[in-house]
Amino acid sequence: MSWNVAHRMTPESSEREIFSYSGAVSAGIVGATGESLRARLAMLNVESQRARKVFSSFVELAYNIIHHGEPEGARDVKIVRCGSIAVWEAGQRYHLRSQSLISAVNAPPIRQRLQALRDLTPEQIRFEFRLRLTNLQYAADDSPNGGAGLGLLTIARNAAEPIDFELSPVPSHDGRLQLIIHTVIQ
Amino acid sequence: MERLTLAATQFTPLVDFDYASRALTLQGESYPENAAEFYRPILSALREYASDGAQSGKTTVTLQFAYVNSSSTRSLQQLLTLLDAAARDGASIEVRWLVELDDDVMTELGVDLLSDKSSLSYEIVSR
Repeated sequence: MSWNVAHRMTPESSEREIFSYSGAVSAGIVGATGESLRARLAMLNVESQRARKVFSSFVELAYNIIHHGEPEGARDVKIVRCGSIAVWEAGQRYHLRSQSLISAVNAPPIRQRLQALRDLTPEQIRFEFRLRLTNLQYAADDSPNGGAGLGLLTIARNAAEPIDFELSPVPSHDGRLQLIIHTVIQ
Repeated sequence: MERLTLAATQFTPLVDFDYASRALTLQGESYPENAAEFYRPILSALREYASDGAQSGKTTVTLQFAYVNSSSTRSLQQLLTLLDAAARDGASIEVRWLVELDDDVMTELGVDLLSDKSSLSYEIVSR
């Protein structure tokens, strides 16, 4: 990756913003934002294969916020987790960037999974995906050996280059960390 | 056994398990937040079906998805593993995985899910 994802807050002028969402993330929000994204991709005549991959990675990133994120602000049971996801196009490549808070306890295993994933070739990603699929005894999407779960592997399969990520401390959030994941689809 | 039918929703596929005609159909989207919870009754029905006369005729399973998220993929793996075991025990089961013509993602997923099910008769059909 040629830039630091943490310092990219908005698309640059040469890029086209496609969709962005910031706020509470629940299953209902995933459905509503996902359908909005699909409609936007269709309106922009994005080729169907790419559009499917963008939608797939969007849903996996959003569920990743729900499943691994930490509550932000008031711990209202209705507002499950908070985060943001942006989708933009640059040079016929589609970028997705998610941002959320995770707990200090969750950070090391997530870092380990994302680092392991970043080093895999496309062939190794597909092999790992099949391996995870056949290991049904692991009910949760946590890896028994530090490898990534099916959700992250799905994002990696859709991607044109290794997933980039950054974990950084957020001083005002009780030791919680900000997790940014950036993936590119071609 | 009573016929199991569930209407399609934004997140979940149409489900029609017609025991009388030995046909199971899942069709639509599959990306519920808790896929295990959604697929649990379908897996239970299949287990009961497999232990209660699945051997006496051919069973047709039609799977046609527009999109499947990762946790649903895990549940589909469980479903197909169960069918594969029933086929190994003597049941005649045919699985049809239907995909849109240009949908390479769903085609690849079909290959990933079905290629190791050595006792199942299956075909992946683009149309």
